[in-house]
Amino acid sequence: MTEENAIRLFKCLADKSRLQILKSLAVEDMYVELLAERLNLTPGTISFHLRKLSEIDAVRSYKTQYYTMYSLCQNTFAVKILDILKEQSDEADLQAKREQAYRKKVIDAFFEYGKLKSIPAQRKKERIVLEEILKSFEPGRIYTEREVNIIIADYNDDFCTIRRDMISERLMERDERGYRRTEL
Amino acid sequence: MKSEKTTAFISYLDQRTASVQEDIRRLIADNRRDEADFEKIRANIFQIVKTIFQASERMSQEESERVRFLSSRLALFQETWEASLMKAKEHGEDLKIVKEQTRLEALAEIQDQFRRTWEVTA
Repeated sequence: MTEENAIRLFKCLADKSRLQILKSLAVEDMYVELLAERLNLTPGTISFHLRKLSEIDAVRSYKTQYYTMYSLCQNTFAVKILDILKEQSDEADLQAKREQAYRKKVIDAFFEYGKLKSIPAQRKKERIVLEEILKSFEPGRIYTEREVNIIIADYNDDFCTIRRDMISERLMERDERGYRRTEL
Repeated sequence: MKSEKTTAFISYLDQRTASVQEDIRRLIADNRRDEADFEKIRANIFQIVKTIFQASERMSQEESERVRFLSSRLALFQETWEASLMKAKEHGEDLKIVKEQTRLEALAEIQDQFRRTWEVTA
């Protein structure tokens, strides 16, 4: 189900009368006049709601000798809400692009000719800066503290703060063997 | 000075508007927004007729003339909305059908009250 269809479905269902119609149809197939009588609505109003429900494939109609009968589309309601939420969203791509643009803006603002001008005060910005420095560390390799300091010093003289912040941000791990990049 | 009949008719229109507006609030609270929108159409008809009737007071001092004017307007509305309903039915436009039916229901109710007030025969 596309995101647009999911929105249409939820919007359409967010109406008590339509929900009552669906509940009635879940029990048995019905025709307009019978639904109108049971739900105390006019046949015109019932037809209007049924049209809306058929637009989202919630109900379907079929003709019998005397009446047009309406039935519930079981397949539409067999979809799990969790599956709808897990579907890839166009919005997710947009969010990723926005995030990428923000990262670039922060990096451009704090780095000049490969050097970190200052450590950002804002945590979110500092994390982006630290992640950028982290790229200089090979994944899986163990570094001594001196090696770590030398690499960071290429970016900024305050290598102690940056090294400590990388640990506290869990971008790097430290044990008795030395420092290494955290597997993200 | 307004006649008793005029005052009673205006009061009826006001009461019905207020009662339909109460229905609208109830329907919205009951998560039945589309039906609330249909009731807004109904409330609007009562307000329109009141406006027309009040405008006719400025046209003529004669109540009989004003009654004739309103009667002709109501008949014109009926004709227009019936034609519109017919067309909507031909094209299977459910939303328009409900809207026109709601207008005609309100109109029928007003016409009934109008006839009872001035004992005008249809």
